[in-house]
Formats: sequence, C-alpha cells, structure tokens
Amino acid sequence: MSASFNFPSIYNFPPFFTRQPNNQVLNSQLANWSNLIINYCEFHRIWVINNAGNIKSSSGSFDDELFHNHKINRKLNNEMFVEIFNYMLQNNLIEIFNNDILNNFNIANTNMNVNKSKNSSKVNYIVYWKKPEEWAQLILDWVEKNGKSNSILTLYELTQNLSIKKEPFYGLHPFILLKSLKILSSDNRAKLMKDDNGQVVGVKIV
Amino acid sequence: MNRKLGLASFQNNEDEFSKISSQLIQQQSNLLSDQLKLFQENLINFAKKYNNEIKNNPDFSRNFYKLCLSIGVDPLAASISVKTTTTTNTNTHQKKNLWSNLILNDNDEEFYNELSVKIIEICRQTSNLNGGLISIKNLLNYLNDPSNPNKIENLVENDIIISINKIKILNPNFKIINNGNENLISSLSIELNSDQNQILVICKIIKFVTVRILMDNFKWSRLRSQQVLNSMVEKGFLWIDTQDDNDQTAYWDPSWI
Repeated sequence: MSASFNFPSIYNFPPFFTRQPNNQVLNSQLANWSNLIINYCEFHRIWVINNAGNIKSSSGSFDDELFHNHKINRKLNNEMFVEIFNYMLQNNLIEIFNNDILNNFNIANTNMNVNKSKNSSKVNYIVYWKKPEEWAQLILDWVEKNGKSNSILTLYELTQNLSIKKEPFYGLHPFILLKSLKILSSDNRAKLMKDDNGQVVGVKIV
Repeated sequence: MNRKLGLASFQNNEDEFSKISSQLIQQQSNLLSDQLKLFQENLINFAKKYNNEIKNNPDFSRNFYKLCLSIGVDPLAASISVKTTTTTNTNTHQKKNLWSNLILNDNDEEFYNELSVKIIEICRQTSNLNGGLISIKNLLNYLNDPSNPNKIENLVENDIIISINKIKILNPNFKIINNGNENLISSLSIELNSDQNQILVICKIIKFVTVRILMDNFKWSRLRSQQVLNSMVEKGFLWIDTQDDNDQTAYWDPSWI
C-alpha cells in the first residue's frame, strides 16, 4: 500500500469498537462504521470483504487495520461484524457474493479478490462504494465519449485493458461489471454477447 | 574581474530590477494600506458622529451605504460571515465588521440568526452520537472545522450563548447547562441531576469512568454508581467500552470522538 488512508477521529474512540446498547447511538455507530468501510474500500479500491472482516485484493493482502485499531488496542467482535454487515446489506452498500452468477461470465481472473475458503460459514460481500447504476453510467459515458457505441467490446477491454487504466472502472470486479451491464441491458442500452456455451464474452452498447 | 558578455550581462541587472520593483511595490502597498486605515478611521468617526441619523433616516443611510459601496466596501455583505476578533477576552464581544457595532443592528440579527441555524443543524446531526448534549467548546470545533466550507471565523463562546438565547425563544428545549466546569448545550429536553453532572465533569478530565472509579472517588455505593451510569448510557450521554484492560466496562463521553 503506497499512500495511507486517513482514518476519521471516531476510529480512535475506544467505545467505537464495542456494540452500544442505546438504539439511537447504535444506529449512528453503525452508520459511522458503514461510512468508514466504504471510504476505506474506495481508497484502496477493494471490491470484496468477508464476514470476518478479511480483505483480499489484487494489490496484495491487507493487514487488519480497518477493524483492529492497534494503537488503542481495540477490535471488532463477531457480534458487531454481524450488525454492521446487516446494516450495510439493508442500505444496499454491500451484497452477498455469489460465485454462480459468474459461471456464465467469461473474463480473465474471475476469482480475483475473492477469499477462497473451505469454511462454508465464511460469506463474501461485494462492496458498493459506487452503486451498480453509477458504474453503469460511467461505462456508458466512456463508451459514448470514445466512439465505441455499437461496436462489440470484450469484457476484458472494458475493465482490464491498459488503455482504460485511468478510468474509474479499471479493474472493476466482474460481479459488479455484470450487474452494471445487466442494468444497461434492461434499459435497452446494452446487448450481452454470448458464445456457444452460453458464456457472456462481450457486450454491445448502443 | 569577469565581465559577462552578451545576454548574460543582463542577468545581474534583472535581479537588480526585480529588487527595485519589489521595493516600489512594497512602498506603494504600505502607502495604500495607510491611506485605507486613515479612511476607515474617518468613516468610523463619521458613522459615530451621525450614528442616530444613519439609523433613523433611511435616505441618509442609503446614501451612506452608497458611499461605502462606491469605494468598494460592502457594509452588508462584509458583516455576515467575516468577524474580526482582536482580543482574546471572550466577554467583550467584538462585532463582525468595523462599523457594524456602530450602526448595523439589523445585520447583527442576521448574523446570529444564521449562526442559530448552524447550531441547530449541528445539534441535530450529532444528537445520535451524544444524546443531544454538546459542550460549547465542541460546538465551536465543529463550526470552526477547516473542512467546513461555511465556517465562521473567530467565533467565541459568547456568540453561541447569544444564539442559544435566541433559539430558546422558539424551542425551550434548547438551553445552556453549566456543569460547574464548562457550558453545555442541550438540544433535547434534558435535565441532568447532580450525579450525572459530576460524571460529565470527571469524564472531561480523565476521558472515561468506571464503576470502580466512582466508588473510590465519590464514595458512592456500587448500586448507585451502576445506576447513574446505566441511566446515562440509556439516554445516549455515554458510550460503553468493554475492551478496557482492567476488565471493567469503561464509560466514555462522546465529546472525545
């Protein structure tokens, strides 16, 4: 990790790591956690986080600083993880990652960023620091600006090609890419191209 | 001695020129600022002398404003969010603008109304964090937060008190509570009893309390200590921390966030 993330002051407040009994306070605590997670993931371009707070990304693995403040020796317990992720699920900030959705989706390194675990109690969450709708719009804008309308683009071109290195959706997780393309497709702005095996290989955006 | 030839010979001269020009600019700007000071003094004297007239005679005040505007001083705009405080004495409240304390009383109103709105906003935003209890010091920190684009310069405690007194008229739940150590603003209908007060005071000093600390320092019974702490957690005044080293629940004042 090159630059370091600037943690908010509440991160150094020890009770932030203990579940608060007052409901109103708890809600604001969860909102603060949710913001922190989103901002942290956006800063480090993290797509996937598991229900124990483990983060893996293409740029290597992260230490546990997000959920474990070593300076004040406080960390989140499982009960709080459940609360926080439920809160984020309810607010559509994360979504449970389902590998099946990608089985029909042909893109290089499909398994990137996903913590492979034999332990079935581990759940992976996709983190939406931008909503799928926003990603869809960004892709659409780029296609229009670069005169790629009506031409077929491979999924690789859309997210992995070096020519788009400066675009925000460079390296976009395939799960989010598929979600975004489906949104475009349901708006009749995109047509998904499948190969003989029914795998999505490309897309035509109109 | 090496004499530089060609273009290089101008090198030194350029330095000289820039030195002289910066001197000239400095002189001019000093002169101008002196003149401006003088003019402002005169204007203030004028405003002092004709204070009542300006206030009471709309024609006169309009002309006076015109005069201010024509020399590039906007008496209305300048006084809303700019405030020059030259003294650290919080009791003498300095007005925002050189002559606003002489004439523009309506502007004062506007300033404090604006401030009131901001105070209410912050109290609302933070009430889930702190149970509707915020110290004036904390509030000033929010208002002076450099990341806040609408921050107001040089606010002092007295400004807050004036605004709260205004808000109080509209919403009696807003009030200033003095806990012996500092002034707190409560934005919900909150009554603090003396036990709760004492805890807030001690939290200001040592950040958090435990049942043990209360028993040792105040000679309270375990039951009483626990009960007061529970009631304060229930109301959102304190946050609990169960990961403290001494195995006791620590109770924190959220103003330490």
